[in-house]
Amino acid sequence: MTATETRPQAATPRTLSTGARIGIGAAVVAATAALGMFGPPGIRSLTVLVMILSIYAVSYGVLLGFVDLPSLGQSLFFGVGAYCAILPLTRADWSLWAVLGTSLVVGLALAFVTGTVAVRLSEAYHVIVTALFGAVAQLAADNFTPITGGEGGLSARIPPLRLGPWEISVYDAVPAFLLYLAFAVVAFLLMYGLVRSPIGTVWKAIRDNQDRALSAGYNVYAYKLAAFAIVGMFTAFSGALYAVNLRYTSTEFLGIAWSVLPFLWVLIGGTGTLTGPIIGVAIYTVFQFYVSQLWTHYLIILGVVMIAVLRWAPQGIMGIVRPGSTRNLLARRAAPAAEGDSDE
Amino acid sequence: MPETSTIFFLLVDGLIWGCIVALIALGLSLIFGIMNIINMAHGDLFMLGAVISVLVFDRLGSIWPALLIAPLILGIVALPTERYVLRPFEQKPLNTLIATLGLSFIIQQLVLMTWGGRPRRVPAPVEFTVDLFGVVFPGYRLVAGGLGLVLLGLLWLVVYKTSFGVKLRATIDQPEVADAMGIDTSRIRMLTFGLGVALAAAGGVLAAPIRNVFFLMGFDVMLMSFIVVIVGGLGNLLGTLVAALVLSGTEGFLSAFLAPVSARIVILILMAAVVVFRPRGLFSS
Repeated sequence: MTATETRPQAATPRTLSTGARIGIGAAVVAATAALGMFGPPGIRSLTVLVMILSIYAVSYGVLLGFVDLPSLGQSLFFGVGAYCAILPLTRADWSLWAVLGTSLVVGLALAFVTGTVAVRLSEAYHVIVTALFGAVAQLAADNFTPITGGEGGLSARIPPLRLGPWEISVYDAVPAFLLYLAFAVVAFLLMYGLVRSPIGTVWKAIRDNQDRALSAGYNVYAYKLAAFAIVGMFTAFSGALYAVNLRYTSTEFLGIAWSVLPFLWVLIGGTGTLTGPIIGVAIYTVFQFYVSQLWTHYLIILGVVMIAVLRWAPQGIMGIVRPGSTRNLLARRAAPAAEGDSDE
Repeated sequence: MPETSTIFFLLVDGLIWGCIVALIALGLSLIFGIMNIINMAHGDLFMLGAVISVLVFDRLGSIWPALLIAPLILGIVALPTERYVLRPFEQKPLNTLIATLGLSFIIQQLVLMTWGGRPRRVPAPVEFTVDLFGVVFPGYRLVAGGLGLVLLGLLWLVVYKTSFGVKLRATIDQPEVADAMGIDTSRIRMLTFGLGVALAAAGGVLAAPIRNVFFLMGFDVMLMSFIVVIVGGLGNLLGTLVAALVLSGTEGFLSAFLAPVSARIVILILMAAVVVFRPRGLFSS
């Protein structure tokens, strides 16, 4: 019986000093910026994807690894964010700031509303209910083609972003690259600050032992709902940037595949870290780009990889690089599932 | 306002579809009850059942043999899959969900590779119509609903009237105690998974003449089945059965007044309302 066996968490990893963290972070940002300015265009556009999706990945890493709120309906927020960016541009003369701001507000509000239903539930119910929200949203969007464009999608011309005296056009590769980099860095720093703030401490307490957090007097439901809403906001923002980068959105972005991907990124990179999801998204993006060109049925490889990583390397890459820094999903306490639910 | 006969037809059609959904949802619920597996590949096993029935139809000219062949083949393949692929993930719903989603991708792509992506239809094996209160029903739909009910009855017999059923229910209620009492729970898990898969396959065979058969056809039925198990309660067999019939009937009834997608959205809102007040399903104690 391996079922209820709980492995003790490995010893706490060596923590890096604040100076070292800032140094490594600055070096990574500088190297990325250099890659964008001087690298070949192919690498540059792949890096843009990684930067934009890293916002999605890191926010999901917060939800899964710091709050223990596994959700399988994040594509709802990603897709809606993408539509927030493109839809107003096809119908009205909005600025880029306005559509990006809209995606933040709508993402936050939508995640708040769906979260009021979803975050109360136990793990299995939460996963299924969030997945159902995403699936039905896609179904609805596919059927309201006059607004959503259906599977064919919508495209728009993206206006330049006004920044004080400057105007940054997403059609100029290098300035656009630096703009996405800036957004990704700001989003990362915000989330980094959040998990290290008092709120983040409560999240980790809930993750480690929800009952104890409850009896310590914390409103677990409110903290989980806040996490779900904030993550929904970042996810929608990532979706908006993704659509802006493509100048296009479609109902595909609401599909379940886009809900599975963040889980995969976090799993590959390492659950319970913030840098792991970025590594995961980078590896996946490169894999997807090259392998999907070689073999149209690359989803088979993806399926095998999902099972294999979960089976043999659930700690992810960060767990291999810095043992003990991640949370082992497999060793997690089993949820008290069908308790009292069977008939008779 | 649609005519009464239209409403009646759609309501009965919804109930018939509910019998097939119940087969899928009960398999999901059983598998969850014993192993805490959220089987995301369940809809794809339904699809495989339908694909096998098309293959059988092409070779033998009838889908009836498939009703035996598909559950048997898929049920047997399911046994080692549970034991050697899924066993390490069991009891952790999220992990099982990701692992079975991996399986789902593999199954879908393998079917796409070997069988192509073009939807196929098989003709209904029986051609007659039934006049019910002045409404004409295609005979096969009634037959499919009836066979669905027969299979549900057989499942009831297995679960409540056999020694396997006793062991199965004991393992759902008290896995440790069942283990200590000398029940081979490992074998029970394998067989339960096989049983759930066989149910999905049988559902796929029954649905093949009603639906387009193609590699993504499992999605729609999965959506409904998940709503059903959430409302009925994961692991709650009776609740799942009632929810399948009530929700499918309601959806059929609503589709007389609304577009199908709006009917589905209403069903989802109903589900959300249920979980707000009864987070473990409508029939939880």
